[in-house]
Amino acid sequence: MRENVGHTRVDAPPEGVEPLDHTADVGFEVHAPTPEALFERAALGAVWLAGGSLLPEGEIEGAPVELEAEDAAALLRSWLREVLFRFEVEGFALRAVQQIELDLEGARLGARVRGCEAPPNPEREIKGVTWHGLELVPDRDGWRARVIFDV
Amino acid sequence: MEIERVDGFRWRIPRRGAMRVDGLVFADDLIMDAVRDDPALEQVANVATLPGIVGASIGMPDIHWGYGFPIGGVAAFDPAEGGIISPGGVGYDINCGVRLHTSRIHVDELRPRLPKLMDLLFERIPAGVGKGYESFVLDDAGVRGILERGAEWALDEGLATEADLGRIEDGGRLAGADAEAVGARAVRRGRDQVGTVGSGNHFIEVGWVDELYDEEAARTMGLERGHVTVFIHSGSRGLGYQVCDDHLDVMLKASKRYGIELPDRQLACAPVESPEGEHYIGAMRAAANFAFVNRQVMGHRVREVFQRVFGGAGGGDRGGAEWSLPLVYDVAHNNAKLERHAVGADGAERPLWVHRKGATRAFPPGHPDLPPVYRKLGQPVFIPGDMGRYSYVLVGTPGAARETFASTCHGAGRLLSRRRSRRDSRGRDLIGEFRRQGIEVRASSGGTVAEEVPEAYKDVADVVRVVDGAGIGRRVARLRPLGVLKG
Repeated sequence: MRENVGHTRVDAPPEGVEPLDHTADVGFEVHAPTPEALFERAALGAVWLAGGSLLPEGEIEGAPVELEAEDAAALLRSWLREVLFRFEVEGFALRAVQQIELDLEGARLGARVRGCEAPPNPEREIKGVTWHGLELVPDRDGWRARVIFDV
Repeated sequence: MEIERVDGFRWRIPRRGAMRVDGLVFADDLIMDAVRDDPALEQVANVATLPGIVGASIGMPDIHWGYGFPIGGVAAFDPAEGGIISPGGVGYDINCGVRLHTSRIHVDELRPRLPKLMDLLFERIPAGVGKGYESFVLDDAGVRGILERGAEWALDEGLATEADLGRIEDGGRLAGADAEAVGARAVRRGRDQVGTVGSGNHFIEVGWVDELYDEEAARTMGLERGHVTVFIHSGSRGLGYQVCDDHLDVMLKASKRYGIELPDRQLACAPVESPEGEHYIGAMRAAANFAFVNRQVMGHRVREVFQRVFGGAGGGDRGGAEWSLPLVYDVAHNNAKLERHAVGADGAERPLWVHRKGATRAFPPGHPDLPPVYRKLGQPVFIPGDMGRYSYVLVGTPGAARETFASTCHGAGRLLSRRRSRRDSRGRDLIGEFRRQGIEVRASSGGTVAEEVPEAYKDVADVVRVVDGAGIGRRVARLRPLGVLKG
């Protein structure tokens, strides 16, 4: 087994993130009081899934994120794709959203993010953020999203 | 879900609502009991609503819940009837597939050298999430060369032989690949991932032939009882994932533009004969070429490792036969291809876009696209099981040509979710358990091994029994694992 030196094991998912059972793939539901908090929690959930239970140490500023999409659900999908691309390809693990401007109706997002180096040997390869059962809806406690990832 | 038994191996989902054709699922009672409440059957029905579908929306006996299309799904679309192409019907891992190498080495000869062999494979071939080479990195032009030329690129680089190319589906190169339709991010992801395993259910497995069901077919494939084999299961890696992901958004807009009703947005598609459809097809074929090269380069590395292990003192007395590891065949189980099949009352052949998502092409004897060595026999098909039990070699049949657009199953099919597998495996020394069974496992992540334990999968023998019984594949040999390299 290859080691992940300098990374701490954290088994629990991030706040507001509930993993879903899916036979072949993985997914989660996210709950948050606001859409902005939901996008942040979903991003942390995606990094948690991709990194397994390894939370890296240290902190660096990420490049700003600017996204446009077809609708609000598509925007969430694009956001998670961006987070995962940076994690797997650029080695940047998002740990906090410092600032986010979110226009759900216009399906636009601008964000400044902080994070750290991704662990050298994350536990799971996420091939894609699927459209399957993708949801982003208001509910009694604020907002809820459901995302299935292909692994 | 309404489902009717047709016979001991077939079930029909009758056409209803927006379905344009019936669903047809291959299963016996055991498998049907396991999947009856699985959303996969609803997904078979959803696929049946897509424009231009012909015959039936088909589920293989290893069917399980996917996204959009089920895993283990086959569907064919007629371009002349507005038939569509769908990235969700191919999957993220474009042209993911399996190749099998055989050898002249007896299992008893290998056993004492197995730990060393597995260590060297683990050292030489990157495996794991996003893993690539540090010393084998291509520039963008190199990647685009692979996208356009497939395995011919590997031949020019000294990473393949002419004989290899003759035993890869389509010679390892899909015509009509459009490297320009592959985005910059995808190309970037491919630069250091040529010849890498990846993660999830991908693997390199050193095994041996323990049972022959058809000696003559086995002889044609070069399989001999007791001899060592090597399976390689991987696909187009991050490059293919990115191609799929990039095109899903385009296809979703296209679905709206062409008035295609989607029961699940992951079924996003466009008519084959549309700019969006043609763009995706060009990119998909390019990613498929990348996958052919990925598996070919791994096959080359495996030969190098066998040479190191068997070429030293006490070895190498058979003129290199120990490490030549002839390729039996290399076949994909995630793609969409334009093929000619007979459908309809007149039985006339028509060009159709056959989507296979977790299903293996299985051409029958006499098919003109088979290499000469297999034209009389039919196409070899490989059905890997889990890490602890066994895998099967099959051959394509006329039954598959008649009923399933020349397709058959691709694996055991998952039984447990990945999360459940991890939970159930907590506290177990899995690597030690495998070792006690005589199987050496090397993995870059303990989490992957926990997700891939044998209990997480159906018994592949149950799946193969249905395929064989229904006549959509015929058993040739069974292989047992000796060593498994995982991501």
